[in-house]
Amino acid sequence: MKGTLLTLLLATIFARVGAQTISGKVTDNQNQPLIGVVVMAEGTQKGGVTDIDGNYRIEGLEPGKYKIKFQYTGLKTEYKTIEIGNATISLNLTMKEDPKQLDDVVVVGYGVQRRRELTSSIAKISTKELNDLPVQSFEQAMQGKLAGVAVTQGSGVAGSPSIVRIRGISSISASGDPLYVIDGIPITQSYAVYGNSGGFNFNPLATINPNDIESVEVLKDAAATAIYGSRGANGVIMITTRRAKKGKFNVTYNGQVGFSTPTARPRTVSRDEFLQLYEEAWINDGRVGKPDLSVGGITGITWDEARNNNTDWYSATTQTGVKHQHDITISKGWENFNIFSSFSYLKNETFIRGNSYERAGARINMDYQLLKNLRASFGTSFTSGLNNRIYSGWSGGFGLVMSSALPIYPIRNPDGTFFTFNNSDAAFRTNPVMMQELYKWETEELRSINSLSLDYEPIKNLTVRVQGNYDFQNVADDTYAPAELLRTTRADTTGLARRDANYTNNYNYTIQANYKYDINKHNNIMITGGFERQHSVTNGFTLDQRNATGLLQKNDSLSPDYLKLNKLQQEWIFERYFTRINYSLWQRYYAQVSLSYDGSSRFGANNRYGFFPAVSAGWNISDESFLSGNKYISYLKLRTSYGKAGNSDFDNNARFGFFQRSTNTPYNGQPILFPTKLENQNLRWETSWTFNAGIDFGLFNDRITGSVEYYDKRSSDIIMRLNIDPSNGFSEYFDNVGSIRNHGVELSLKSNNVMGRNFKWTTQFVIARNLNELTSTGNYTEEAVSGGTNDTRVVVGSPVGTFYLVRFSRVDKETGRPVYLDKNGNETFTWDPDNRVPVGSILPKATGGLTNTFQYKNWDLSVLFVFQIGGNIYDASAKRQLGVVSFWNMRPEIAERWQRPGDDATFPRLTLDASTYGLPNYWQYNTPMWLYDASFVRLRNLSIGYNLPAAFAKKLKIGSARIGFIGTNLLVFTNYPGLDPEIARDGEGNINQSRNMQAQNTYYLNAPQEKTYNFQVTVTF
Amino acid sequence: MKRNKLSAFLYSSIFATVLMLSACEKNLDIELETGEGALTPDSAIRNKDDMQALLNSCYDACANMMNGQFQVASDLLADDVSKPTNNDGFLTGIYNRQSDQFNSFIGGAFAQPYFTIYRCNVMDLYYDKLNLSIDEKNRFQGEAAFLRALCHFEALRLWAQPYGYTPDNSHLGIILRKRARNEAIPRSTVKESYDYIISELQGAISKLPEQNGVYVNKDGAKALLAKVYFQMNDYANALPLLDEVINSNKYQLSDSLNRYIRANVANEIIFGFVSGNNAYETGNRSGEFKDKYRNDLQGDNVLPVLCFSAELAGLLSSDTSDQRSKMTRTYFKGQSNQQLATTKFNLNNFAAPYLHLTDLKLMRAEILAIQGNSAGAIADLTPIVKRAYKPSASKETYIASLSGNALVDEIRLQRRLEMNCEGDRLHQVKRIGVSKGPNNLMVRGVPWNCNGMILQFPASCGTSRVFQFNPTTVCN
Repeated sequence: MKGTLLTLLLATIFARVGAQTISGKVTDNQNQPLIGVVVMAEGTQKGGVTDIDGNYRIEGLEPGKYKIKFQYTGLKTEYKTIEIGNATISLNLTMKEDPKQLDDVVVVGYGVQRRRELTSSIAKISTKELNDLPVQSFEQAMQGKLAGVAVTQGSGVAGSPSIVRIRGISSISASGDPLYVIDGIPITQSYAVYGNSGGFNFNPLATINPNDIESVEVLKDAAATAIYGSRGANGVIMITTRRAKKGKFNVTYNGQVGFSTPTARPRTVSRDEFLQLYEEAWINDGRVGKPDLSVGGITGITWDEARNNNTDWYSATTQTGVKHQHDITISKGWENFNIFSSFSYLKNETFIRGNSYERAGARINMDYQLLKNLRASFGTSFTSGLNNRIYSGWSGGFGLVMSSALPIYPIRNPDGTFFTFNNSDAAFRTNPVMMQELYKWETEELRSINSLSLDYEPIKNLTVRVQGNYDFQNVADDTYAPAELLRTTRADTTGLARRDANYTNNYNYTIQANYKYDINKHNNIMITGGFERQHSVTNGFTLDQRNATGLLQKNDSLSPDYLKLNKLQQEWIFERYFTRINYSLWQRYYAQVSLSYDGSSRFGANNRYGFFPAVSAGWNISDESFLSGNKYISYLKLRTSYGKAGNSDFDNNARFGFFQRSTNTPYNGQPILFPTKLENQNLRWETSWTFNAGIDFGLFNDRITGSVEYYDKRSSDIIMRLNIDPSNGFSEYFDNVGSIRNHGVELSLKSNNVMGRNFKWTTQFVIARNLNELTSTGNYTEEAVSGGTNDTRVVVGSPVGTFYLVRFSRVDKETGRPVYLDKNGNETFTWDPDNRVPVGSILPKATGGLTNTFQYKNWDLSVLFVFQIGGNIYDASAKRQLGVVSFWNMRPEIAERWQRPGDDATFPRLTLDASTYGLPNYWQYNTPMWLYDASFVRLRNLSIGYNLPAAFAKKLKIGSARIGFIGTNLLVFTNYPGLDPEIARDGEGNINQSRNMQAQNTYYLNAPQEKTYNFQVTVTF
Repeated sequence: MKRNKLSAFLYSSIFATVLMLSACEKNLDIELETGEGALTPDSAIRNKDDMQALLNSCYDACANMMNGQFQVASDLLADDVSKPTNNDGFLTGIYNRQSDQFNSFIGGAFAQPYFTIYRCNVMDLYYDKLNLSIDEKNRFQGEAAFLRALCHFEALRLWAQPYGYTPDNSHLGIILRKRARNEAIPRSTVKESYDYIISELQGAISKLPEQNGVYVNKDGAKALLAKVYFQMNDYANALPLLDEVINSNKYQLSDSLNRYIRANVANEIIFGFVSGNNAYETGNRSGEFKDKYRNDLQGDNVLPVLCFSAELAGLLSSDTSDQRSKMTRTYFKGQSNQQLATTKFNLNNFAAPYLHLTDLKLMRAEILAIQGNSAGAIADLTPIVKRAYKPSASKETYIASLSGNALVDEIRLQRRLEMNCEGDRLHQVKRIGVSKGPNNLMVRGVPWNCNGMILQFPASCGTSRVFQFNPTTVCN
């Protein structure tokens, strides 16, 4: 692995000045210089690392015979024996491909380990794999590449977050997201910064530049996550940023330019079709005469006027988005000092007008060997993210293009003013073109992540590390609505600017020690122990400014007429004592014990601390004599683990009962004081016990490598924000309730199919099958956990996020009315919520990806397919688009409706009256009619590149250059009739709960994914 | 080697000591923000001023409940408004008498009275902990009892069939919350509910002062108790209370027909909620009224959500001298889709007048008319009619000639015209329906006592294992 910490450590520790020197150049089989090859004189502490030209130098060697080791990730480790006298010796080497990928170094949390020594489940993705497709946020690039790591892309709206779930869903109201740790810093990662606005939640990962990332390690089982104890129940994603390698001054430029279009265009009926459907419903309902549009809730326009318009709202609100990205990295490594810096700029316009994400950032990472046994490391990043936002989904804007922006409405009135329609039930849900043009909305994030560490080796084999980190995040959500817009819904006569600001200061420090104790040649122990403390404080305010003429940019520009309300401070403290003991016997048998004792301010005094142990063991079977020399099995390892992890990522103040005093909203001019939430000081850790067993293997001299894993995770004391009977005076209450089980298998395969000199073909395949079940809700009813919707909820014995619907039987041939099934399977014309049953799940049966990489001479081609098998999508939009005729536009499928007695139809007769369908209102038309198979295969990425020949590059006076094309989301194969089968919508209410139970695969007017075409240039100087 | 182990031991000991020291400084107690943000219960309520602030919030929550939410729900079930013009599913569901557990309008409304009730119950926990005078304690207790009764009463009228629906009133009422505790309680019967409300109001009458500013006083509790008895068709108990309040002469009918403009009707209000009056409308208590009825901000072709039913529009338009018909806006005049909407809510900041003299006089007039005291009834009705019909005095002459059922009907008609879109009509038709018996009164085509004429409880009530929903069948 390029540039791992271990490489850097070795390079620095062992470099010495001496009279005798070995030097030379290391190249690959294309005669390209290799940078970062570790060259060691075995049996000594002398070594070096190749520079940008592939040159290395080992100095200070005594005369004698040496075995020189050349090591480089991805290439076969080479040994050369050489004898030196008193003179400098030149030793050049061409390194060859090595299919063995099983012995690289992985970051394990508070340290690194060699993969062959691992006893836990850790998946890894390198910078190359991460940057082979243009993503705004790095987690999108993990999709389909890591078994058991399910990534669902957000919608095509700029800034929308993905949903990442490792080995299923084991939390409900606590976060189901993995813990993200960047260079040892558990970062601020709240998706609820501004709740749910505009149809999506905040993405806390958006300001992390993917190009700064060296590697991503995903810790999956209890043995791997136990070192993160209470925060590892949903897995840990360790991100290591890039650092400079010793050698020449290195400058790299990477640029991309691309275009964005939607993966699918919303299908709606035309003006004439809509009016025809309306008229048919009018007649079906027994009405006579010219249809009255107001009966359906269509106001502001008459039947005759409607015929004058035929607005294509989709075209009016979309565009071809332009994207461009530029990254420059500059690095240099000296004997005792190295520095890496990067500067990046990105602007992503999407296919929706006025919608873009812009990011500018810089990073500097430095390491300095202060003394022979003392090393200082420093890293800092500053990023600014600017999201030009629009309304989408449920909130209006682009969502209206698929719903209440009817083709019969004009965009503008004859006098040039915007035509408005207020037949929607929320503010600003009117003319989407008007919204795009008049409403200004920017969310700006300033982020700085900083770390400083000292590594001290007081005696041999004992290292002590002290690290302090600071993560700062400022998110300001600014909106401006001119009077013209406000008058559509309110009495305002002046423009209103609003700011919602949040500032989070997240500090943490770690003190840890590692001691390596070799009992004898065959018995080795490594002990890691330490302490970590983290403290996060979030403050913020909302500010309304009347008489505004634009967005608020600075507070000091306020006119006197403003209202500022401070938000309740959010604070949490977390601390941990941890230890990990690794034992190896004969380099074949490995065991690990991890213990973590964690405390969180989110729990009351009685339950504040939790103990999280884990044990694991590994056996390198292929090193046994009975497999030695086996021509089929080149590597075989068995490993297993069992341990406990926890989750405390939920509302900071959930345990407290609060009163709030308000003078801003007085009654009769007097302050008011009122209880805001119920107390529960008995909240305790949500915990998971996980068993894991895995086999890592290499076949045919590691031409085929892979691993198979089985896990069984049983989570209990699930933290839930329960709905309680509102007559209690509150509608929610936090408690530990019930249990969830996730178990499944994962398979990862890599095959080096062809490894010729000019042509190479590699295939990687990952697939994971997870079975999820809510096994108990304790003393509470399922309704208490279900949340507010009536389509997705929990059912004991079914997966979390079960679709719970009244079954649809058929369309009655005689009357055209829908026929439902009651709980006993009997047909009925009445939709009754008591007849709801579990009919499907948001969770797929399996997810995975297939990557094929081809290399022919200087050309390379990479094709990534991602897939999802099983699970369901509930299209909650369809119940309106294909249901009761109203002020929503309809979809062309409505042609399959009942029209006359005897029709064997897919959809019932048209009506303007929900009671015709036996419904209390059109919102309750929740039946499996809108439930679809969620399976899909998607061509996620197609990348073609050409590397300039070294000789040509040299003529251009550059180190290397690559030009390429990257297409994303180019094709999708699915039976889902909606826009896009990959759905990660916004979370509402309790954002965590919603993201766990409803956000995935429950569709409601969300924008489709974007399809992009990008051209890329990478030049190294 | 031995030395190295010794050093390792030494360094490990130092390291462990450092960890221990760091453990000493650790403290996982976060400093909760003090001041307005988040107060723990004990730091929140320390003295009389805190109790008053808590009581203010009870009024505040109650005012939010009555900001139009309950009135709109009530009017949708009755016959004063037409189908919501925005065809909003939840409002239309109520209008169709098909409310269901997932109706978000109902879900939001149902929680409102219990906010007030919980806060009033919290006050009970502090009377003995604080240094309060007898008068202060009585006032706090009286106001809390009044608000608890008001909220239970309003919820009971929407979520349960009326008093008299069953002979012994053993049909299900609502959950009565008498203490501040998170606990599962089954619904009480309607009899138990009314008994509790009456006892609370009787307690309030005994403890409230005669004067109490904009807050409720003794007269307010009496007026509400009279209203409760009137709703129960218990005229014998209602009449003395009405007499006490009306005959005190502390309240006078104003000249204004729009009692939502508080400044014009201050002397008429026995108890009403208070609205703030700033540009941000943070103290505004009329959001739902404005959201559903306000119609002065849009053009001529954009209807408010709720317009008059054809029946009410006809009644209002039938007499051009009725000044109440002037408080309307006409849409699509002369066309087949002509609609009328009220303009009484075309205001910025206002709050509902909850108990007012017009209501009390109409109650007493109806009771007297039913009891055969036509003169007394006409005396109460006349000033209301005189205020409404101008300049002609023919209406006064007309009602002076009435007696018996004709007089009762006229009083009920005047109540409907006077208090249109104020959430009153539903409760009157149910009260009258009880007096007439099952199936003898139809409301917009369905019997007054059909299942759909009450609201369904929100699904969240089902989180309690002891809860029983209203029947899901609808009115046919």
